[in-house]
Amino acid sequence: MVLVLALGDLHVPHRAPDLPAKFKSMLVPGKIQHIICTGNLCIKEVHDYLKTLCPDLHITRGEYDEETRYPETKTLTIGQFKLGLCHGHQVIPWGDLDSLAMLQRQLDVDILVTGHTHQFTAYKHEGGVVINPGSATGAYSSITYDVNPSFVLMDIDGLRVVVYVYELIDGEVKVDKIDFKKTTTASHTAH
Amino acid sequence: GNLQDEIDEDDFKEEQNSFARLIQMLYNEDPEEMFKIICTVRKHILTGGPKRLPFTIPSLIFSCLKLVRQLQGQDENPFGNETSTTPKKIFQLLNQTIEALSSVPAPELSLRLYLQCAEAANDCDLEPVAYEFFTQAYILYEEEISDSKAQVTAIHLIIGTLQRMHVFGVENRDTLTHKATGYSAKLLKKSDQCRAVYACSNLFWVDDQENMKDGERVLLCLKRALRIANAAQQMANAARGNTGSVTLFVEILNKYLYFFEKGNPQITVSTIQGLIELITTEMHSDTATPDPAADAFFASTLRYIQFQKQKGGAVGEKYEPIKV
Repeated sequence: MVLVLALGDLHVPHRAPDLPAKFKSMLVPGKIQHIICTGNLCIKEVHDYLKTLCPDLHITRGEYDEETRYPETKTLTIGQFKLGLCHGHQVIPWGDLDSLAMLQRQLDVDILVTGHTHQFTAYKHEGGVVINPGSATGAYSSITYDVNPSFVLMDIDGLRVVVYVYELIDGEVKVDKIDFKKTTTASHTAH
Repeated sequence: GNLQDEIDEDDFKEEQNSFARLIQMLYNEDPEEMFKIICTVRKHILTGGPKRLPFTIPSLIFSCLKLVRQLQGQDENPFGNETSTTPKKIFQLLNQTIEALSSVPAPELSLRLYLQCAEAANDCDLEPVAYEFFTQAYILYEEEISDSKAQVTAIHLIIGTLQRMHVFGVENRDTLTHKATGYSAKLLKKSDQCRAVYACSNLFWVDDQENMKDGERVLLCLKRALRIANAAQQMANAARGNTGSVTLFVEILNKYLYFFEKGNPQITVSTIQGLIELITTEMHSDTATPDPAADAFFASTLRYIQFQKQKGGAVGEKYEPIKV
């Protein structure tokens, strides 16, 4: 059993002062094995904060990130799952599921995590799962109105992954759950 | 010495970022009061000089945009007094503020903010305002952004934003899409050119807008992307004696499938079939470079076609004639 925290689009300090206090009190060091972040942090303080939660941190570059070392896309393997990461401003139309599925085929991954829309989504299809953790600070977005702060925890266990989404609605943290089982047909070419 | 300079630099950044966070915390639910706060903050930060503006202005811009959205639903009161805060008034302030940032210079950041404003103006149904913001973004792109990587990101932001705009009349929209396609075809690297050009195809076919489904121009875009992919192959061949990767062709094939599914009548089974064969031939040619990632991508695309064929219903019927 492996816990993976997925989050992004914090836009500190341009659109939000900080992560919600209720999220911060939930996110404690030592619980999480990996963090994947879709980008737009935007400052080093946020990067450093995430590092304190878990040293295994994977970040792709959002269009507001100054840090040039973040890559455009990244793939990693956790247990039986191949994960792909990308901020998502490169995929046009923005947030379009068919276009994201194309990126998923290109990266050849079971789970694709992207951001940019500030709208939580989890979409199951024959090729795997496409997840958008939303904006962890509930930052303003030109795409989504009334953004609630949200992030995603993935519990990866064998061929099964449980996706928990945490959303802050009217000051209360709500949790939702999506299950996904990997079938053997969705196996990938060995590289 | 240098270490001290670095510490000073870090301190300076931290201070500026704290101030930017502070701006985000200023809030008053009354729009008039909020606008006053914004004006006061703006006056203060504009005196900060070129080193501070890139830290402080973005935060102010987003405070303004939040206020615009708050006012967005409300109709303007014809009997309201002259001085009341309207989106139009805020957009003027936004325009002048980003202009100050762009003369720092900070072209990449300014371009992003202009595009954000353009979308906000779109949501307020203010075509001339939106067009003005786009014009400013385009001028920055043309005159100030010359680094190739920065250009690639900027062009994707331009195309992505433009794709979402519904406020423009035919002429304005045509002007802006034509320019965006032009910029795309002018990127330095052929692979970047190709990707930006096929991204432009989405400017001519917008799902939820009936009057924006120009199948022919979509096809022209994709054909142009194919030509560029061919040129990229020729260059790879010239430089390294192999045909390079087929990745671009597989990407374009996926784009063809995308519009095929959307019901673009210009995208025919035979074109798709031809593209599949072309890629297969390329991959088995003697001069092909082994590229496991491209192979996996192609295999995954063929699996997708297979899956759609088995789906039944309208989709299955559509895919039925395609042989894989």
